[in-house]
Amino acid sequence: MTKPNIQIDDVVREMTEDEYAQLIASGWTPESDE
Amino acid sequence: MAGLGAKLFTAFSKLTAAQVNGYLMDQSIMRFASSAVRDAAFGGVGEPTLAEGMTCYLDDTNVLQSYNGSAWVTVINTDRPAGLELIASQTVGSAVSSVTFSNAFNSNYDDYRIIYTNGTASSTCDIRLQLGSANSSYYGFLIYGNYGATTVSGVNTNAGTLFPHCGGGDSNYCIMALDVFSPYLARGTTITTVTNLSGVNFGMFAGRQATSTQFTAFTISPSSGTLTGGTITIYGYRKPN
Repeated sequence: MTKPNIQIDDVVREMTEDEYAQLIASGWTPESDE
Repeated sequence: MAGLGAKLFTAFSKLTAAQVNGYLMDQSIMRFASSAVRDAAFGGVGEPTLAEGMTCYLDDTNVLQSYNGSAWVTVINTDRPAGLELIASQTVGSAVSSVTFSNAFNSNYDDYRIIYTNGTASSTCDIRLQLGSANSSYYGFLIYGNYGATTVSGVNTNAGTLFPHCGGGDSNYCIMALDVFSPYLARGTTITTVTNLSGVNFGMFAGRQATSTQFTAFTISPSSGTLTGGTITIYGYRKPN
């Protein structure tokens, strides 16, 4: 599964599994439910 | 004459009057008692001619001025130097779900202003803020309303994982403009913001990260989807001398 991109300063790359897990844990969702 | 830029002089090379004028005289910061004295020093017989880029300091008003080709413009008033100083900016990439600004906070400033504008979001979202890698001890409260109604609503943040309501965005806009107080000091970090939240909502959020961690970085992320484009700019509030 393709994970979202993360940007650290001027470098953009795909998130690692750990980074994606942290993003999900923060309450982030792929799409808005509004 | 106009300044000539830079030149590396070597031993025993010939130094001409034009070089003294072009590399030294016209590119130094000239000091005058007043603007009247300065203006009288240019354009006459045997006097230099004004040129763009010339810079001077005026004793009577304590200002630094540069000539822009048509007028002298004050660059800084040394009695009242700028209070908000640009630290750095970062262009946001395409379709990113978080953006980390690594070297944002340091001992040069206690308090900061962070602005993110001119980007877009893939879906309607709030924009959130995390300090360093801290993912606990965030407290705060959001007061907001929808532009289509007159009721006021509130949302609390109690021991959250980040500050959840710092800005907003959708496919047409992104905005986050907030003040951050004491992130680099060994005490709690407080933020305040007044903003357009997720699309139709407008409100105020205040929050505190209640640890004594000294932060150097922050990360912004949408509550859903991704951000594309725009610029994050960080300013520091100049400390009193």
